[in-house]
Amino acid sequence: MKENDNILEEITQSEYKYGWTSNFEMDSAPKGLNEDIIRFISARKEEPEWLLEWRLKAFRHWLKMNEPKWPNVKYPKIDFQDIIYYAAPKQKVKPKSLDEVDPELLETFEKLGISLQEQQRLTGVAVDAVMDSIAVATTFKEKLGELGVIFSSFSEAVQVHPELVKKYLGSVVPMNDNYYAALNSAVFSDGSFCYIPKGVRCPMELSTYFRINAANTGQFERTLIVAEDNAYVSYLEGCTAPMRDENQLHAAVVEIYAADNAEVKYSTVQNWYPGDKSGKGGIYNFVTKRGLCAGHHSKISWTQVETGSAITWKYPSCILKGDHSIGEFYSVAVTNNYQQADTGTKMIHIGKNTKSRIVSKGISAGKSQNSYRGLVKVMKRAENSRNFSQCDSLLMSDTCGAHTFPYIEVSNKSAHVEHEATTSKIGEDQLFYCNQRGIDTETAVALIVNGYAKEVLSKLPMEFAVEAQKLLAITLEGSVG
Amino acid sequence: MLIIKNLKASIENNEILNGIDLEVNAGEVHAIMGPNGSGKSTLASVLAGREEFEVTDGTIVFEGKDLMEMEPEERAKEGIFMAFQYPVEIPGVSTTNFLKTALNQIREYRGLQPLDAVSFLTHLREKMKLVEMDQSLLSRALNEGFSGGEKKRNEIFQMAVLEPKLSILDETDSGLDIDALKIVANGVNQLRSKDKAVIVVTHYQRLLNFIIPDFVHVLYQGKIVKSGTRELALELEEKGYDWIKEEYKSTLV
Amino acid sequence: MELSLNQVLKDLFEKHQKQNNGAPAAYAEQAFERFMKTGFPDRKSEEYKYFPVHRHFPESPLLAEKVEDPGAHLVFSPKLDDREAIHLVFIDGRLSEKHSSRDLPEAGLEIKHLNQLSSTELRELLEDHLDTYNVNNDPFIELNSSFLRDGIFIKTSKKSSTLPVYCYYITSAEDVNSFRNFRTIMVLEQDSRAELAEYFFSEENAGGFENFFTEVYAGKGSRLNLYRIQHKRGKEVLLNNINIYQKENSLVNSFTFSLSGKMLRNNLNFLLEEENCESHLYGFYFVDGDDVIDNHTTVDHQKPNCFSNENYKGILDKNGKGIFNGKIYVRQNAQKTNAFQSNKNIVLTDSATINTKPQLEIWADDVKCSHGATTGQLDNHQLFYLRSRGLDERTAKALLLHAFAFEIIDKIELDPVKDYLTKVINKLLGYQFDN
Repeated sequence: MKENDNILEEITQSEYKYGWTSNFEMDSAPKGLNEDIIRFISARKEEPEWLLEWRLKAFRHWLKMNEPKWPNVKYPKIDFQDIIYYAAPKQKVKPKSLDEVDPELLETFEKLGISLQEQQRLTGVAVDAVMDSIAVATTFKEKLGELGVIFSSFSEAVQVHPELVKKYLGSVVPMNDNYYAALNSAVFSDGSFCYIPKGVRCPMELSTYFRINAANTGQFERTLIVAEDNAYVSYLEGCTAPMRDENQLHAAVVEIYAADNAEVKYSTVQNWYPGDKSGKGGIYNFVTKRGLCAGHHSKISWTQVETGSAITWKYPSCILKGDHSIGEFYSVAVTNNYQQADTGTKMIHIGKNTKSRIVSKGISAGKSQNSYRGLVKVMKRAENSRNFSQCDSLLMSDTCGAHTFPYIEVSNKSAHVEHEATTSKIGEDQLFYCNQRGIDTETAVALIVNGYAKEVLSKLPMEFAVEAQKLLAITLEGSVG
Repeated sequence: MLIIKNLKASIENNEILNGIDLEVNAGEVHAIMGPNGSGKSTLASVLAGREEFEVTDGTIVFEGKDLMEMEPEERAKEGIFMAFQYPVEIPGVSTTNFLKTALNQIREYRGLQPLDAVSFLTHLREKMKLVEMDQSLLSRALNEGFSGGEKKRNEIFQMAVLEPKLSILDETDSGLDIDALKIVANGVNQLRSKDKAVIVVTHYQRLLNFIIPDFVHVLYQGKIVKSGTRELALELEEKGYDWIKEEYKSTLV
Repeated sequence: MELSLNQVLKDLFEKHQKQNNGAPAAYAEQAFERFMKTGFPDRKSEEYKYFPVHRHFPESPLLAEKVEDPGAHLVFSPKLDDREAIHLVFIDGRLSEKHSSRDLPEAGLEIKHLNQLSSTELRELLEDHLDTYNVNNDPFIELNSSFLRDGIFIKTSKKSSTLPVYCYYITSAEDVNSFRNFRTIMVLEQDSRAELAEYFFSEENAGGFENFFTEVYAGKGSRLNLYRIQHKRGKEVLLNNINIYQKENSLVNSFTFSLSGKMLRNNLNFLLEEENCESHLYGFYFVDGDDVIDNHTTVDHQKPNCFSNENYKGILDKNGKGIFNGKIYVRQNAQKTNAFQSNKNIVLTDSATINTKPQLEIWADDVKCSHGATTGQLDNHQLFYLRSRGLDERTAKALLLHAFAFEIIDKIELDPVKDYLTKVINKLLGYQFDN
């Protein structure tokens, strides 16, 4: 009920509200990509030799690879030499605490609705904020430190915990996994690192906010989450970018490693700038996210609300290697105007008694194209594995498209795989019913859409759920006649 | 309260309402009866503002305002409520959430403050008793998986919550057993007052044993062919509709 | 490897063109050009991802020579049923007069054999009836047109039921290099009705590569029942494209039964070109031994108010590999479309696999579409229930499998087909009861 009031308030704001730029002095690399640029990035970050070698190796792989053509999206060829691969707000000295962070930077995050100080004081959510390419501030570090939880920027982790980074980096998403993962491995600038030691339940949500600020810049962050035996963590990720006429590339990699009995919940509210009403500008969001349920009874759960980006290409996946491990994927993807989304998941059942569940709710409006693409693969050894998939599409106009590409590959007789999909439009009857009770059409759409997406939204942590509901309403503003 | 003059309406060029004249005053209960296909439900739909029906002639004035100029939600905000014959299911949207949104939009229209959560819930609880609604139905998705009886009861419950001036019950008795019918009728009766009006659209007289109408109108071929009091309904119950049809035909000759 | 396969086909095509004994040169050339654009499917081809056709194509393909009556030596004789029907037997793509019905058409039914037509006649026929729409750019459709020579043309104009037509395609060629193309063109004129049953058989030592392409033009208000029964014993590869073009108010029921075959692939494409069409796609596959059976279907809703319903079921045994891919396209102006699809599979062994991909692509908003796919084994509760009533495990399983399969078989309206399938499938499932 309360959320709904918020929708009412917010619904009048239709334009992308995170679309300002901040004026910082930037420290950036020249445009283009070659081994020198990679050396430049690595040197800037004072990285050890092994990491530079790793990056160079990834780069050499990347040179030999081709851009994937199979996603159901169309865009002009990206000129990888026309992108700035490293841009950092200039800071004279590394900040030790929030007090030392550039005030304008903090203000930027305030505008995003992420007041780092407020967050720190009130909500008990630890935040790591990444602007353009580098991590700006991490909150709550000390408190987490007492429990042995490491939550820091990726660059800091490289300096402070090189052995952990070295052990897990690329262990779930190899450097040459795919075109964009290889590119990320070569040029990634920062990101978050999170390590939960044995037996620790992380007492607060860990959260990262990403923002692309500088023009002509690509953002390539890398997130690595490791949960040791019996550990638990819930991790949130939010994204925004300013309005710009040109397209910007975002190619991130997220790796999750879950040991015996470990559980990781990863929630995303993605709201990169989607381009304007005529399809100009917007972020190309080409992301590789994968979790490895390495241990028995481990569990990885992806929840995503995708409302932004001109193009989304993203398949948060689970490799269910440990016996009795569980993978989940809950997704709401909304596209409006000229947005294109090709998103879904892969559930690879390797261990015995593994379970996976997929709930995907696509909503297409305007002239957008929205595709679900998923793979459920049951390997020979994966006895008694179970999967249930539900993929629904809701159409809001006769000029958009909804596509479902579920691949099911089963090589074990005891496996039980079920897939269901439906496509429908918002019923005129439903709208009329709401109207008859005095609810205007715009609110009725928000109400119905939130109802439709409820199963997914309910998986989000509370504060994210509210934001996600607002985003859905704003994204769909004006989409029904 | 409501004045309908020479109302004609059609769907896909088939004329269904063929010149309806009807006046409903505050405090009155009117029953609209008639054989299947006579246009009863169409009349209800036109009043609520369904777009499939094209009004080709006539006027509808509600509380001095031209109803035809209004969107469905404006009509609702003005105080018209329709209890649907087939209430639609809206997955994922709880009845509570739905009603709160509706009530507060209506209140806003009338220049009232929105109800806070506590007073809203108090309001709900009070109305639930009227139709003996089960609390659990409130948190379930709107009408989803409700039995026929539960859906109808939910309609009357919504009527009670939203407190309309004019309620239109479209075949609210269809598909109800006698116990459910009594509960629904009892709810409606408790909501009757001297400043509110009700239009009961029904095929059978049965419901009118419980909701006693002040006036009964018989609709046939898109026209009100006969009006009377409650006695007319009883006569129809006894003799069926054929004699009305005959009588109407003879007037045409 | 892939490149050389295209080259091999190019050489073969040029040789074939020189002999000038097939379709009109321009027609074949255009088709071959289109083929060269996509090329022979390789391991990266999405459409042939699970059906490695490039590894099973002859290295030096040979087109079949002309034979007088290819069935003259054959002892096989399909059991003609008592009902009146037209039986046509083709051995390696050529009509065997010895085994076929002699008095062919009745009024309103016209049958022609493509390789008996003069090139002028063939050209006229192609001009009248060929506007192939290759919805998924399948290269084998283009290859079939490139090498078009053998085939059959069936046309009905009768409003009441015509005689059912049974075609038996029997493979006896043993040469692994033989490459056979066969085309069926069926035309249903306005308001006509037809029944066509196609049996695909082969001898144990049969080999080579078969490329069948069937085109059905279902005119306004026409009704067709189409049966395809694939029960092969040989080692040959069968690739079968079926395009069904439906006009206003037409109704087509398609049944596909793939019971055995080393490598079987069906591409069944329904193209709903006008309003108010109704299409039913029923399928059952039993994949045993090392068989690979791949059913791809497409239902392309191009106009409003059409209804399609698809129900495919499969049983996977031993090392069998089953593939199902069902596409539903709903084009932008195909409002008020109802399209449903279901694919259910039972996997009996750990070495059997099933790959299924039910795919929806929708560009219209006022539609009702759904699909569902399941894979699993027999329900243990059901099995237990039956066993607790005294059935042994083997029998209980057979009974459940029978029930699973006969949901499809029961839809068949043509008795001889139903009888044949009942007998064969019961035998395959080890089911020994009376119905």
